[in-house]
Amino acid sequence: MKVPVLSTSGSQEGEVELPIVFSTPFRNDLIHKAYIHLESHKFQRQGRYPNAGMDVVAESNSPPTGHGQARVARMSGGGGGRQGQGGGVAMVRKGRQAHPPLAEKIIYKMLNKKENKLALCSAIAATASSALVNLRGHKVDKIDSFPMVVSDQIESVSKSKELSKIFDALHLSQDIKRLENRQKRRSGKSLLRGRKTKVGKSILLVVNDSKNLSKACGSLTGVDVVSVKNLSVLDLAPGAKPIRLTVFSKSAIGELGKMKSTHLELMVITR
Amino acid sequence: MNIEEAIHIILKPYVTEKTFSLVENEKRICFLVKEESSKPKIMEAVKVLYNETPVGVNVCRTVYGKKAFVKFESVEKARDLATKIGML
Repeated sequence: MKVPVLSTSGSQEGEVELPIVFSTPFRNDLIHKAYIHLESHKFQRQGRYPNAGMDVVAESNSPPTGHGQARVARMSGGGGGRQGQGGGVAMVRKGRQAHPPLAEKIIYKMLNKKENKLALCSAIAATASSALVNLRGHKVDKIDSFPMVVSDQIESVSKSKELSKIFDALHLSQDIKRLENRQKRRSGKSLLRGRKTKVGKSILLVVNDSKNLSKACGSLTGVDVVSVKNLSVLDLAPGAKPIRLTVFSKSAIGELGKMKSTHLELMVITR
Repeated sequence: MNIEEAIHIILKPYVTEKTFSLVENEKRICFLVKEESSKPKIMEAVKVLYNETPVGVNVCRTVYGKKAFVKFESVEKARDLATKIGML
């Protein structure tokens, strides 16, 4: 399949043949699985102080009957205060937690290499489908061909001003505007923990060398840059929802052609 | 049918030794599908998702979910699709 290569001014600048990765069928189940598993690699283990609620001198009376009281463990000592209160067990006030989070629990979900590769291939191929990009909620009016391929000039851009001009020319700025006025103050624990606002994702730029371009994208809402070798399902399907509006540079398409996977080799044979 | 509906009907291919051999022997690929989906809907969803027209479909309800045995025109077509999906 051939797609047009667009210049940074929006005009057509030739064509490029898409590599075999783009003929992988859409596997929503695998993309979902890969996302869930890869996301778990970011998580930090949580635990509580192992002795929390148990650093007390509390014993139950032996035998615990005949006092007209509940048979819970109680503090020893005298002089009021904590003396005589229940402690050291799960059911009482100031006692321990029944089932606290454990630091030993393994929350890192392992993912098979081949499964991950197939999910990635499928996600890359899905960027060529306008229906799937629409499904995620991106605005794609006046964009004719998917995936969008832009000439290598875009890789040398290092200023946001220049980049936003290019987005205007490629009809991509409408998707960034979609995210305007979306920032609402969140409530609850997330607010207290420094996650005040949440902004959506807009355009993903896949390039061969992201050194310059990553500087330019900082101030544009929802725009991310990733180099081909670091491309993952996490970038292509945020929230495990297929599929993000993706712009490839011409050399990035060339790099994707070198991608190795057992399923791609089999696909070549069956061709 | 649009692609969104098709995603919700066909959940994933069901790969075991038995379904693996069905591809070569009976030109069939086994999918796990949504419990409420009907045979014509499954056929349509396969066409939308994989651009391959099925000949027929048989379904059965098991503890693993609803299985759909989708039959294709030839062994080659079934094998090609199975390779593309990543079954083989």
